[in-house]
Amino acid sequence: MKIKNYSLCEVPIQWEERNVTAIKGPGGKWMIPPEAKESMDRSKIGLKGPLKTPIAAGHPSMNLLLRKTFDLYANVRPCVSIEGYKTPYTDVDLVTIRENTEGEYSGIEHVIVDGVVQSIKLITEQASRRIAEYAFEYARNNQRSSVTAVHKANIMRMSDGLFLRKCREVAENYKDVKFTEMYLDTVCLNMVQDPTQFDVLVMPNLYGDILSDLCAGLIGGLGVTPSGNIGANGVAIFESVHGTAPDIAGKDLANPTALLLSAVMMLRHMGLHADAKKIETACYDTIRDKKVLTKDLGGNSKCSEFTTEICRRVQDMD
Amino acid sequence: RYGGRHTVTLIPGDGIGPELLNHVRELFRFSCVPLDFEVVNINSSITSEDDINNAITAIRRNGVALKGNLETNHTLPPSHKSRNNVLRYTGLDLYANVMRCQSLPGVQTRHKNIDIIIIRENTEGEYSSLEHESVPGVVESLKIITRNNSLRIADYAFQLAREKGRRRVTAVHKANIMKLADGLFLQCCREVASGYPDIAFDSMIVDNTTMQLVSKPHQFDVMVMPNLYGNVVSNVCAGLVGGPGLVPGANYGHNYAVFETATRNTGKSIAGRNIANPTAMLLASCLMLDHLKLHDYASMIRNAVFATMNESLLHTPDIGGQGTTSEMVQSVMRNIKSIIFRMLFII
Repeated sequence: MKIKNYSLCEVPIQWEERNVTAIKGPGGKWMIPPEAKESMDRSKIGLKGPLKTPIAAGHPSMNLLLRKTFDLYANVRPCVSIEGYKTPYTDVDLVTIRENTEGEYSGIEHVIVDGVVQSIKLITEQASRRIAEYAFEYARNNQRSSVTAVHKANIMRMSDGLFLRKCREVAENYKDVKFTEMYLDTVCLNMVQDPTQFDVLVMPNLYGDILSDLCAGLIGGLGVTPSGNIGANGVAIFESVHGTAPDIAGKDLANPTALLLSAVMMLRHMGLHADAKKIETACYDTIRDKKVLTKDLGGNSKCSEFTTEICRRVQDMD
Repeated sequence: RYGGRHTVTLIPGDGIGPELLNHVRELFRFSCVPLDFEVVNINSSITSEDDINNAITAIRRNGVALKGNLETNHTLPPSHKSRNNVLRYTGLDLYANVMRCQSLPGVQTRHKNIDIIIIRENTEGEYSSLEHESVPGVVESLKIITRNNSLRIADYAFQLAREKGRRRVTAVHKANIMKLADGLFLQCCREVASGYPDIAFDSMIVDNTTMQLVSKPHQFDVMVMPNLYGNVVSNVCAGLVGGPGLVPGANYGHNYAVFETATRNTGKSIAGRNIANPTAMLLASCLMLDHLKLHDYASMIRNAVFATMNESLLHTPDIGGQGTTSEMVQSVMRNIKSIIFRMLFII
């Protein structure tokens, strides 16, 4: 359905569909199918729908597997208020950039003695510098005026302190972008009162997880929020971050906005700005007009009707 | 407690702390509250280890303290720990941080009628201050979760919920990722919940929690969580009801209690300008009076503050008003006077 959308809109992309269900490779290690990896290595850009990991599947989370395979170190979520989809917050326009490989999600935990558990948060110089550099590059390439590092260095002096130092160092090389630092709790406090004061936010894993979901909540939830994962070697995978919704799968009821906007992000990443703008505008206009909306947006239309309407608008623009 | 008067330790702290606490003293004198303050002057610039220990001794002696926030200079080496934390748990074991976020009708916010109690484990978790550089460029920070402290805070939460007639407790966690640490916390909450069949129990992952708070906050009643998530959630909730100037906070242990503003801000940029919102600190002092069983004084001051906020609508700039701190305090005093007159006439 998505692909139909794109061909109708004449976007110059060739699609290669790949299944990424985990298989056991030689040596018994879980991995994604080699054809999938090879395809990604060649094309470098991917678009992904939600993946569900069955509980007790015996293998680690699918998303985790993808992240490790392609070293997807930056999770980028632009949060922009959608005109026509009302939330108590208007004029939100910010981007959260989350370090996605280490921090609190290193998965290193131990039971020290019975009843005492230790969970290790790992912060490295290399990963911190890499995410800081990505954040400033992103800010520069997307004409954003400031980058704010979010941290708790007053409490976690060494770990967040290291993260903060790297951000400061990288900021020196990007004098055209304003750099500020703010405590995580202050960001939360200010975000729910006045989100317009924030532009690009960069932070370690856990804070990024929390803040990116908080910001998604401001604009209407995961059903309308796009997301991109940037990896080493130029790999980038764009995805919607909502669940698989098995209860409505196959019934033409789903809201494709999140996936569509992620695809728009993908087009921008590939430099296809004009196409991106067309599809994005068509999508926003459709939502704003409120005539053809899926159920979760407050309407009664089917998924296919929604996308057909968007395609129609794109064609009208040409 | 001695000669009919209580003694409470007062720690002015940095930023707006000193001026706000002066207003509290002024108000207490005006209202003839039978309470004396023992002032302990520690702040970020002059304090040494001995001063901190003296402060802890003073709090132990009096059992109760009212404090402003102490700024932490995080450019200093890691051995220089956050003073607020040292006071809180080293030796005082103030294990429960309790914050009630209640919408005030007179304050303009995007969401109305919020009334959430947040109970945050105050001594361990990510705030253990255990960090080391294992190899150059790689830092490890330890988050500690123990069965004892998790059971303790869960029990506190359910007891409080029962006492206040609340119907549901929600545990906030990230046990899908931190399977052992948050897993233990969650398990302890479940165990305690089974002993309180009159109170419903559910759990929610922290990132979803923040998303739900900004879109559908009314689904929450009482929330219990480990230290860091407590920090995040309490700041989100404070923002939802109008900001840091409005919400009081309390730290309870078995033997001691320390009261402060809920979001623990120093307010450096507005210090000394007479624009800080005294509401949070005044309401914190009322929580303290309740703790000392001086309920009549607590109610009187609290009602006077609410009257200023909701009827006279005298607001400071942080909530969109033009009033100064002193104007607000004067208004509260006027309201106290009329409350007393009304009481006298009834008698």
